[in-house]
Amino acid sequence: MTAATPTAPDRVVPLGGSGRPARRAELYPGRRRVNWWLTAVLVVCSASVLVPFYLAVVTALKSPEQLGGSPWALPTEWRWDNFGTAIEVVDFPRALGNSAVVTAGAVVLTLLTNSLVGWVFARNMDRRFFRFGFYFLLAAMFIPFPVIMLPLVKQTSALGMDSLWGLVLLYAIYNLPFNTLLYTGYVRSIPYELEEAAALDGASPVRRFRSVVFPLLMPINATVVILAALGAWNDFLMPLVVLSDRAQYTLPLVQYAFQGQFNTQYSLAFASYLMALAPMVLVYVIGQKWIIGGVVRGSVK
Amino acid sequence: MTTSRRFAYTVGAVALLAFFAFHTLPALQGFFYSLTNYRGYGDWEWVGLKNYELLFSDARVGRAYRFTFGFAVVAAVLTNVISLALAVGLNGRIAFRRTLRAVFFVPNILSLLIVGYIFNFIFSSAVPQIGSALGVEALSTSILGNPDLAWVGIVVVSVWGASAVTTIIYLAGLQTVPVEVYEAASIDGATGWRRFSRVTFPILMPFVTINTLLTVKGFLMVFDQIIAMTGGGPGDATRSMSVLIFSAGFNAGEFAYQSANAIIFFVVIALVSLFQVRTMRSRERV
Amino acid sequence: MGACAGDDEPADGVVTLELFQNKSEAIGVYDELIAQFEAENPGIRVEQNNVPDALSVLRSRLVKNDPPEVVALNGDQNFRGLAQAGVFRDHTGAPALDGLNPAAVRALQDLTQQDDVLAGVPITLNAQVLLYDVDLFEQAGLAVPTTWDEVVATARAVQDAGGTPFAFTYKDAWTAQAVWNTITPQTLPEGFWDDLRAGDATLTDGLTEAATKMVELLDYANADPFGTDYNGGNTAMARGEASMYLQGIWAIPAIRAVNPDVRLGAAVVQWADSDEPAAMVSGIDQVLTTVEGAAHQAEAERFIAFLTTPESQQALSDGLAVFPARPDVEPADDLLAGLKTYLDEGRITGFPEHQMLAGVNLGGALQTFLYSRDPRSLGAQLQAEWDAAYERESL
Repeated sequence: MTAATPTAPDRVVPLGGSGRPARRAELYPGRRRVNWWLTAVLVVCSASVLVPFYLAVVTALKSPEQLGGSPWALPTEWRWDNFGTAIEVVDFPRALGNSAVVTAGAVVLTLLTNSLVGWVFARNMDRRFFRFGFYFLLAAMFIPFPVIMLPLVKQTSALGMDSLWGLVLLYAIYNLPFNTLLYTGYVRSIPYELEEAAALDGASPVRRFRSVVFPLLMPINATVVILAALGAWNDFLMPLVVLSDRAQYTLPLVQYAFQGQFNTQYSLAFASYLMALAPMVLVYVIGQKWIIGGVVRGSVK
Repeated sequence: MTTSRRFAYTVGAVALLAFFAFHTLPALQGFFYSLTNYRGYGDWEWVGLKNYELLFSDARVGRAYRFTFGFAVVAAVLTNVISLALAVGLNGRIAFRRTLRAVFFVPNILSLLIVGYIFNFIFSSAVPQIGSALGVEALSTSILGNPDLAWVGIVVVSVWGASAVTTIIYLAGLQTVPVEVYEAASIDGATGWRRFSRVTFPILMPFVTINTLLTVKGFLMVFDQIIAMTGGGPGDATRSMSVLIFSAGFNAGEFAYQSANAIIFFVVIALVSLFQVRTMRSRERV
Repeated sequence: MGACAGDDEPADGVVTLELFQNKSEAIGVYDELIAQFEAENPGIRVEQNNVPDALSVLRSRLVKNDPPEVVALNGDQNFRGLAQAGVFRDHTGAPALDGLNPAAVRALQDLTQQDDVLAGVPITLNAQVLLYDVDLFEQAGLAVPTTWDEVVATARAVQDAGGTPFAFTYKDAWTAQAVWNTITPQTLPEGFWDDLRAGDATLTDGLTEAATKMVELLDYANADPFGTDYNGGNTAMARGEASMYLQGIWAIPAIRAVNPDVRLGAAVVQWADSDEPAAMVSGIDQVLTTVEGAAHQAEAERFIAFLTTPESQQALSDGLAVFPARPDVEPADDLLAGLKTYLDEGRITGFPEHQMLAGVNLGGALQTFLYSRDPRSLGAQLQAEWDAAYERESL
């Protein structure tokens, strides 16, 4: 993403019916001039991302009386205590804690188990068992979640896994096919000699993995962490069908469960939505470059 | 190296066993239930392929397929066109490039359910407000209440959410285009649209394949935003396969019947995926 | 609040019951009643468990053979399905029934279509009525309508004066069911549902009158009935933006939450072209029961009986804004007290949607037909879904 990258002149399709005519921007590599027209068009397009946030924020800060007015208007009186009320109504700290536990658990367990499995598969692909297992996992990626959803509910509740740790385990298992694909591709690019040297020193397989291989997997580890975190944090369907105790509801699930209880209090609902989105936005603001990079690496594989 | 080999087999076996127990087994169980009249509790009997027979005459299922596939195609095309345009724009010589890129990526990190709730409000209140202020009849009522237009609302949210990753992937693709290629094209006098369609686009083709596969696959599973915005309505105008299997399977006591529905859905998805991979691969080679 | 609350055998002789209930609005009231019950019964502890999608969860608990000791559910077609599958214990002659309105008990048997078995104890009842804004009616000098013609005349008068006669909230499918539940019962011939099940009647013909009237009322609707949801309708009523509202009495607290000063009235309307006095559409808001095979039956029944004492009934009625199942308890709310005579006199009729098979998407069919404004299409669509659901259920 350096300034030396070539640029492609091109048509920009207006986003979301913003009504802007398509523009042509002629650019030639080597010219250092900033194309302000193109910049302007992109800034206008970025409104499609920002406007929903604007509406959410102003709605969250209105009093019940002001909700009758235009949704676009700024609040005449800023009701910051809507956030306090929403925190109480949905028991935000608990939901946040649940989401944090599931996400952290899913990330750690996925990272530790999937990387190990990926390495083992990559180094043993010459054996029939592993080749077969690998293709078995790949084939399973075709099975959509709704197919296993109904029996899964019965199975998890029968095993007492209708809980946060049950979710953590399921995430680690369901992440396996894709991550195995990621890791095996990467492990093959690591010279085997490094491991061999460690093996000659008498290091056990676990030690070899931990001290030699795992550190070398860092770029892919980052991707795995980010994808697992985003997946677990934002997931709705699996917690919905797996969890049965309301006290264990995660942030998205709490928004769903409280739709009825928000009743006509849109301000509280929006305050609650914003608080549910905030932690991930915060993480994103801090680790933006890292997160984008991780997601791209995961997708392009 | 025997400890090493035993270790490898242990790890592989545990992994495959866990996956089998919590993924493959439920899938097999689903097939098993689909041959019964099981409601999820109580007694059940074998009914053979009766559930499958009834599926083919169930109008709800037909409508759910039509919505799901129509939606997936429209949303995937829009996502890819918009993302490609945004990516080319972001790759241009613009100011605030990092900030803009960061902003366009934001939807990817957000819960689609919550985004759906926010857009529900936008379509129900904010857009009609503008519509009536401008005197545009079609926009002055909520499109989510209109059985003919509610799907548009679902498409907008889905494209909004999905464009983030798709754009960034195209952007990564554009950065693999070597400078020399453009220089050569410029010498040949290729500029603007011509240069994009003749030079840039062909190089981007692998990325188009990835993005199409990813977006179509994701959109066929559409669930969260529908629950947040329409619940599948009005009528069943926006009831996707996932929503149908979930709501009828759990709430209407059609456990076995919806299991059969899910099995057929799996076969359809598998065929579509194979078809997609095939055609994309063959096109890339040309 | 673990899923297995109540399983653990008491070391100290204290029995723990799990109260599994599906009404989130009732959490507070149940908590208070549980505290009283525990004070009176030191040997019993009750843990309340409320989850959304309670029925799915309850079904999975039944599969797991881990039934809660006490179940509180809405008396609807889902309850009927479970009752007919023999999930619940027979409560015929239970002490909890002493002093309850016989009409409420009969309503439960009508719901489950079981003459010799009583699947539970009804503790509260609700109703489906015409709500109106008393202030707006007084300002316009309007009388309370009690027949279909009067409803139309009133609506026209409001509209002519520049007001909005009705708030409809068809964005939420279930509210279309609420309207349909109000209008349909009286427009159906006697014994219609039995005939339908026997194949001697069809929905295609039976529903035409109610459907026609629902379409006609759309002429008097708020600006965007298909884009307005339940909350929007409640807000409109609270702010005096609409004069009339076809909803269940459960909407009353929600409307008052927006504007505590709103004065609401309720009317029972004869929707058919008939001179007979109308019956009020009423259903069982909460039915308490125990599951066959669940533990601590005696303690569980004691708790259910506690909920039917006059004091508990008063607390339930006032806390939830619903009717008590005891005729000798008067709701504190005048609006409900006025409607309660219908219950006391047994002039009630059940919710027609409870007669539907579970696989019929009633709300969806109502939305579709209302949008198309084609009254014939409703019966045709529902009949097709009924036939398909019937075939699936009889597998």
